[in-house]
Amino acid sequence: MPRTEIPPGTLDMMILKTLERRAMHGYGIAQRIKQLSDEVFEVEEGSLYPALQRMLIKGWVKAEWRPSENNRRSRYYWLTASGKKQLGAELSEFARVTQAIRQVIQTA
Amino acid sequence: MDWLGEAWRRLMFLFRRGQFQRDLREEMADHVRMKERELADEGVPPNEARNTARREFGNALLLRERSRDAWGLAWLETLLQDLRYGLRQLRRNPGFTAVAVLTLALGIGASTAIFSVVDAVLIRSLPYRHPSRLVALWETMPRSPQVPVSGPDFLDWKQQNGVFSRIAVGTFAPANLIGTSQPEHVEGVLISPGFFRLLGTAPALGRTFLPDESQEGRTRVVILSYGLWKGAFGGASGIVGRDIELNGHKFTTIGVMPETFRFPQLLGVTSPDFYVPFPIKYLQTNRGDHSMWVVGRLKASISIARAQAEMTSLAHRLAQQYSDTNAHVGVRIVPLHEQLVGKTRPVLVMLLCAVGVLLLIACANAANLLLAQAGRRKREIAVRLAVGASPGRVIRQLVTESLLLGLIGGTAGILVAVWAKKSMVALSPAGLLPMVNPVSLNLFVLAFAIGLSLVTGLLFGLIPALQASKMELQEALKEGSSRFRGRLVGLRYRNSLAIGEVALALLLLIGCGLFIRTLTNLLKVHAGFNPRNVLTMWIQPGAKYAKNQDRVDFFQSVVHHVRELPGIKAAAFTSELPLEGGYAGNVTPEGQPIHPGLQGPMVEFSYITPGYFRVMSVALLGGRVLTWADDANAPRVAVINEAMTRRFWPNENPIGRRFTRGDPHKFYEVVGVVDDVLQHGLVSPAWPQAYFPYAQEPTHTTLLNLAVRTGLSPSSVSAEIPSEIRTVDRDVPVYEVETMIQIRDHISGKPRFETILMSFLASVALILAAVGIYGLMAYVVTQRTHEIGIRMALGAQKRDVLRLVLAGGMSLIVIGVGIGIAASLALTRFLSSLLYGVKPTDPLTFAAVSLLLTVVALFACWIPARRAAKVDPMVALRHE
Repeated sequence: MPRTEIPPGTLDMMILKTLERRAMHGYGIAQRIKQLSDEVFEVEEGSLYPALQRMLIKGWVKAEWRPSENNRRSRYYWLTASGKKQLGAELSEFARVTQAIRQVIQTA
Repeated sequence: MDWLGEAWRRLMFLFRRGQFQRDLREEMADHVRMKERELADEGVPPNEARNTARREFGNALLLRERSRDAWGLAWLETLLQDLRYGLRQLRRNPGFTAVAVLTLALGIGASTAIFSVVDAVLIRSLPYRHPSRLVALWETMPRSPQVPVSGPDFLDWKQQNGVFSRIAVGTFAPANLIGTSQPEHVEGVLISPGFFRLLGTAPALGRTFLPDESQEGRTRVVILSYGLWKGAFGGASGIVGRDIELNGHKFTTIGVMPETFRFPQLLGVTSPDFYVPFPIKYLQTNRGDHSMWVVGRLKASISIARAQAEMTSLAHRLAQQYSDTNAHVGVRIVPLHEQLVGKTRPVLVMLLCAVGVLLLIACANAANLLLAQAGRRKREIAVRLAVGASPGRVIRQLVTESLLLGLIGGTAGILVAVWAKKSMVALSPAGLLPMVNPVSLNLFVLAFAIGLSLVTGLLFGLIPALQASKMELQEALKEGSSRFRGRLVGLRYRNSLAIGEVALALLLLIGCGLFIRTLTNLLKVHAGFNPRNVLTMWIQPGAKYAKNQDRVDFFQSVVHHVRELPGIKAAAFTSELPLEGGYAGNVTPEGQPIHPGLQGPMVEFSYITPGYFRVMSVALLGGRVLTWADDANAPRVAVINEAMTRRFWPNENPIGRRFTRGDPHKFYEVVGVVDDVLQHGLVSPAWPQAYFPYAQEPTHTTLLNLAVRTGLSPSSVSAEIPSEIRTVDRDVPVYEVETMIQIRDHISGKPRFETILMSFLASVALILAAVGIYGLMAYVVTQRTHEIGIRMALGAQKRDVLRLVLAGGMSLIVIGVGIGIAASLALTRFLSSLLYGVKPTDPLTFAAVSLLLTVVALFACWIPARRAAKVDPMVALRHE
């Protein structure tokens, strides 16, 4: 199956969306994005980490080491209140843009 | 508030960056492990699983760096890392570090020291309230742009001007102070009562003058300087209200000025011991007597030009009103700061340029050292570039290192500056550095030094860094095995730097040579007298000798006593010492119309006692000298100098001719002619001068100088004579005991000071240039050891090798000297106002200095050349 690069600017939104329900570690986030997108997107998995650091700075997510499956410790990320707000803002912006694109395509 | 939280989180990271990096690395490793395990669970073979997991994760190192970038502190991280690395580099090469730091310390230290003086004198404003509105006022006469002011003119200015909010007058007032443990000569000023309010300075103790305290009949009051209060009065707490005696009059002390108060020196006295209100009646006397200085404070809205225009029209009115005295008298207004520092500016600007040149040499030297370092570090840098460091990253690291070196050099330079500043202030002759502000290494000056260090670091670090980042990787990595073809790193740059150093050093050396010529010319000047073995001291008999005849008798008795002392060859009093300036007046030869005011020909007047010409060894050219028989009852006589003969009786015998000083009933007969004596420093030619017997003119001054010619060193009697004078009268103070040589050295103090400083700067420049040449040649020789070995193996002699290396060095030196001479020809003319008796392009100086520099530089080449000639061909061929 052909793979596509993630559209620029949307990685943050996908990460935030993935973290909306529950705290996850980096590997989990990567797997989840792959799964939900039916492996359409080609994600260099490591590129999550610079994005996560940026979000830590912005205060959208927090991180903590917690025990995970198999008695290991993993670093879990979860959304903060301002992260939830940011997600809302990005989603509505995304909806606006895709709506606009769709209109252009359908009427043209 | 978001940005605040963000800033806080960034800051937290800075302190816990170790923890952060461990977390990141661990979690990334964790990620890859989980991926690997999952693939293994799907049945992928272990090896392939590990590779796939790694590939899909991406470049962990790069990602970690990008993560750190996200925190926005990567630059700081890199900086700290580069600094640590730089320090390690410097520690590893202590020889290189020591030479570079020393070079920079000398350059930055000298610059900072000179700058601290420039800051105090030229940059900082005067230590008074709103100093930009303060001006000095002078009168002008044809051919004299700056004449002291007369009292009545000042009073008219004060009443009729509309441009000054305050205006004050002052004059010099020497006095004997009695009432302390010892009689003491003190120097004070008479000033307008509003003087301190004009400056905006409050006293440390007591009060300043009241406006009416200059009126006649008021209690006499005095304000003391901090120095006099601490010195003569031991800082007594009850000083305010206490009576002291000055010149036989009682004065009530009303205040003490603060220690930090700086008196604006306009005429004569630099820092007065006391201040007394100017008695109004002295200001009302003689419109033709120009002896006072005036300062004014401009009203807020008035410009200098406007004030000048208004004062000029006021002067025109006075010229019409008092045409006999003021016909050609104008007014000149000068900003007070300019008035006080103007004369010093050319010297300071010259010194600032000279240290600038020295600093450039230091930079070139440091750059040269760094380039040699870069040669040695070629492989290290090549490896860095090979494993993926960008050229920008390498430049950044190398520049950080040179900035670090610059800062270390700068810190050492500040220590040099502390020492240099102290020596410079101690060396500077009185009056050269106007003490408007204390010279200090304040924050501004320190910031200058730090800034200079950084600029310097950038200047000498950038070329080597650019050079290194552009290197041919292949060649550099292979270098170990292919020395034969290895290029000399940046040799072109290094040659230009060495040439530049030689040229700049030559510029400084030529400047220095011109100052040395100036000083020797000044000391060779025929001054008309012999300053050796002459001791001088000022004596002012006090109120006790108010009667003229008493005073004459006192001076005569002192001369008789002193002459009896062993080792004294001659002793006499004079009102003016040679070189120290003097008092001039009008003279009209008998039979010519008398000019009014000060508009006739001017002649220097000296009042002497017999024996003066013998003390100073002034040659008698005709007639006779003065004797004790020329007293108040004898006809008025004078001895004149050659210049006066030429002025009034050219081609005639002046003996027996008579002249008047303005009073048509008082004529003086010329009885002798003496050689010209320089009266105004060593540079101005001798004026016409007339010597009168003090016994015939005792009203002109009560202050005389006792000059003594000794057989032995004059310092051997410097204590004896004052004590002998005390046996005549123990209440008369003797002060300023100096030899004539000391006085001459004071007079030539400015060129002496310039010469010492320039010699210091030029010597440092010479040493730095020599070190630079040596470093370069030593490097070249090391790089060419292999080649030299082959030459020797093929039969070259030691002589040939020596010649080979010296020829290489010589070509650099010749080019450098050529450029240096061209630059000097273009630049030294800016020194002409500071030179005496030598042209700015003096061929002798140029030739001698070029020769000196060439010899020193050749010697610097000779050391490595000799080492090259001693090379053992077998060792050299194996040399890597």
